[in-house]
Amino acid sequence: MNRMNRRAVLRGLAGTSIALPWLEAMNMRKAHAAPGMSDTGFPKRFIVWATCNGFHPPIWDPSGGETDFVMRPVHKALEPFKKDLVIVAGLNDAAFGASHGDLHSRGMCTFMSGTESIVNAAANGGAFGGESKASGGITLDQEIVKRLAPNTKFPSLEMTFIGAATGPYGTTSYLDASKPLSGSKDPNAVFNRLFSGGAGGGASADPATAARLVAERRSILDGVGKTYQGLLPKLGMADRDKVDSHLTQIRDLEKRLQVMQPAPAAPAGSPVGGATACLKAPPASSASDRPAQAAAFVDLLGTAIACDLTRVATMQWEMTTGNSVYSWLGISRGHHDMSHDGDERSDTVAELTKIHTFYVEQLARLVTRLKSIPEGNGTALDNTIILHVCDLGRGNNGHTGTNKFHMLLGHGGGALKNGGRLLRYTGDANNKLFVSILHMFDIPANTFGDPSLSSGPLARL
Amino acid sequence: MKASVALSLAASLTLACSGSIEPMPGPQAGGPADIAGPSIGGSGGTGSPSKPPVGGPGGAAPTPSACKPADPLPAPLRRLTRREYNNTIADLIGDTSGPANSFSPEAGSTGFDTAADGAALNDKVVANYATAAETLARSAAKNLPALMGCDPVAMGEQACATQFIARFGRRVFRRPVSTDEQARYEALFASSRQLGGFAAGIEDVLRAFLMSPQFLYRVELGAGPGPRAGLTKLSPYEMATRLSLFFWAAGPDDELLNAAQSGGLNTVVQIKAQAQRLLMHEKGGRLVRDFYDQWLEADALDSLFRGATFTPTLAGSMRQEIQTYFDQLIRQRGAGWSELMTSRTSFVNDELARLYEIPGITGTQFREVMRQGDRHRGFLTMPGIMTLRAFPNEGSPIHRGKFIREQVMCEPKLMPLAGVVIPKIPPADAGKTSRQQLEEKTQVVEPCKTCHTLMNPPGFAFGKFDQVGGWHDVDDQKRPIDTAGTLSGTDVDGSFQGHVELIERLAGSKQANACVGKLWFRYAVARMETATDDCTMRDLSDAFTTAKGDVRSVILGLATSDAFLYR
Repeated sequence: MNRMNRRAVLRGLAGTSIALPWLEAMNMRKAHAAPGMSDTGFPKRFIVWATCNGFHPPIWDPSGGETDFVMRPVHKALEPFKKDLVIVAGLNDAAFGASHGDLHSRGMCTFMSGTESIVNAAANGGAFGGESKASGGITLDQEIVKRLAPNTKFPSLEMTFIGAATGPYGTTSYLDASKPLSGSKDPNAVFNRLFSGGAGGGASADPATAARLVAERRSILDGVGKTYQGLLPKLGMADRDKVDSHLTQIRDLEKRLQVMQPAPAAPAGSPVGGATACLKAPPASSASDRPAQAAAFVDLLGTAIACDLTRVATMQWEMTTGNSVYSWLGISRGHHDMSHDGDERSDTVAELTKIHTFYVEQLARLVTRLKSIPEGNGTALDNTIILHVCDLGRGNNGHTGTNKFHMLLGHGGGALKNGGRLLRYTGDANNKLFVSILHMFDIPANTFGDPSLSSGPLARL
Repeated sequence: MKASVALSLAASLTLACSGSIEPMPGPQAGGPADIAGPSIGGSGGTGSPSKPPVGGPGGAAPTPSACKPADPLPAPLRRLTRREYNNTIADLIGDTSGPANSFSPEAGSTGFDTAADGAALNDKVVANYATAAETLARSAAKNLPALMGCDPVAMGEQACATQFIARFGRRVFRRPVSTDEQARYEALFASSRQLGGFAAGIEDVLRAFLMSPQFLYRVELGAGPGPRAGLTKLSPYEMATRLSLFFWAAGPDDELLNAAQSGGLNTVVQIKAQAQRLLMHEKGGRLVRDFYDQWLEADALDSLFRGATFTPTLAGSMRQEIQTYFDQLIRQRGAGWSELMTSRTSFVNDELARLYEIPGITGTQFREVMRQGDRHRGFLTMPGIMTLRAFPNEGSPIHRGKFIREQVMCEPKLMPLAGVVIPKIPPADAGKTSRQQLEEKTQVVEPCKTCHTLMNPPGFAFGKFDQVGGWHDVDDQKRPIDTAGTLSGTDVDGSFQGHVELIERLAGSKQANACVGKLWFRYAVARMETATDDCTMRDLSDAFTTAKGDVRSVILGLATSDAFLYR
């Protein structure tokens, strides 16, 4: 119940620009804006852009200095957005180093949480000391959701392009230790969830019909909630937690129905939002047309941001050990198989370049979309941070958690003003980057993840 | 190195158990109704005292103290899996569209979805349930007579609704609707009828049913202490639910609910009789089909790339063959491990017949065939199995060998160690065959040698099968394909000339037998085995190795084990 109250308080705050006295003590970047809001009153958004099976340094590492760096061919599609880009090279996944066992699941279970993974040593011992079976803590995206509790229809959105969207090898986002959030793999289903008249929504052409549907849904949910309530006293502690969180979700769903009528909320003063701009369907797509599906995911993400349906999202492009064959790029070997090849294999390097170029092109599509959404004197990209991140450092020549390659795109509502920079580090913990990102979202923090691994933000960022 | 240490440890654990169980009765003549089974990890049961142990297969003196009884199922409340949701909806309202397919996939720790505690519960999960309930109820309410089983005009709207809530609710909740619940749902019906009429009232009741915890969760409150500390008895309805979710991946039918109501699920004998009925029921095929589908990861066939000839229809046929084979051989013929490994029987349609080079089969209908000649035995050579472990343009000996070691023999995972660089394997050329190239790069020096010496040979045995299971006597350069090798690190070590001899070795392997038992345990009990399960594991292994061991008896044994009977 405490959590609920806190959420309610924060929700109230998110919609106001009054700075309460206690907020000033929270070491906020901008004392005059509400947390998670830009200086100009637009919501800040955080998007995790996760790729898997490691990077391949010869493909990725740019040359040159901090501001005169030369981007690699794989980054060509981002060239027009160089001013919106900060490359953060050379961090270590500190929690990867602190964890044990199989390298793939280890990377996947630590790379966004900065916390030692939970290892399933007994079940799958063998040569690798077990697989990681889950993240050992909350991931950065969900920390932002938790701390800002945005008053949006969906707290966050998780989507997965290819490969498993669940389990230790296929999950980027965790609500908490061992609480994975699996991604949706079907853009059409995501679209329905975001916009249909289903129980999660309330949109209808006719306002009276919409209102009646919402009222009916709310009344049924209320009754259903009572059946969960009634079950609670009969259960043991662990089961009670489970049913209690189900109940909380039902109550939240009821509230969302309330919040959402009669039309999707748009940021105050925003020239965008409202039914017409929001309800634009992405092109229909199917799993047999992967490029179209990728585009549909990106467009949905852009639309969800444009309509302020969510402010936090994770787009996962592959699972770790994912052995998908990117046949539409003319590739005939599996991604994971290739990620084990040595650097000297020019044929593999060429194929991996194709795969990463494909990802970067999708990223450029998203950036273009966000730049097309006007917000005040700028665009949605100005109020967004996209974190491009990978499960591992090096994929080829051994899977590592060191020398990782991160990219930040966007400006976080003024929190990351100077783009066009290449920042090199020598083994600082990625936890520091995550602390910096929390600060960009006006979240006071000195550590993220396991506090024993590092503290403080990343210098120079 | 580490791998082989772990291997021998695992082997000694399995073999060290020296307790005993009731001897396995011989095969019965009377067919499925007489399936007999050993007691698996049991401690006496709820009403049918088991006979004292009379010596194991080897005639060793009984040492009951060596046997630790199995732990009960993990107690946590579980949500229906997507499979269970789909099947239950199909049974309840006849919608076979798979409404749960778009729900978040399960993340199981055993490799089977039964262990899935579900992905973390978030807004999406709950919104999915709400949306599905709304859609399903709306469409079901369009055909009220079929849904309700009473005629509101003849019977009166209120009486018909009351009866619907009680009768239909019993199947939704998998137990009788309580007086309080009856009143609450009648009130919902009344208020919705007032707003939108009779059909709207029923639709809303159905919607609420499908979102209720009694439907979405396997609620097990227990019914008092069990026969020893730590065990809690299940109520008869909870037992009925466990049984039906295990055997049918769906809720119980009226017969099972009636048995629960009339004291027909109170003893192990009664439970076993119901278990036998459920297994042999048409819906019992789901258990066998889904188990083997998940074990062999056959669902991956739907998303593989194997060149232009590998169409989605062919992928579907391959998957269908695997499922049909196990269902027919196990449920209808009482096959054991050895027969499953070596049978010449299979079930094919026209496109599979072309791959098998069996003439004269037309049409998409599946029919039973005998696979003559020296190419095919059991399931390992099936096109689907060969296709799953292959590269897009050729078979993959390493993946096939790895599959045999990890999945058929239950050995720990074999993956490259940290920092190992995978060498480039040159393609076959005029000088060397692809096998020679692979052996030179992986079997000569460490760190590759140890593991590849274990997994390459059984993989090479299948070297004549290509990436879709087609047969080749010679390679691209018209050279013979070498499929001979030596199996090592198992209980059936030795040399073999080709895949048929390898399969025959594996068919007689205790380790492989024990592996099947382990896998069934993980599926049924929904967790990994632990040291306290040694005895159950041994019993399962013995059940398979006993002459003509019948997989059905192991399934039934598990369903009447303590781990299954109590929480």
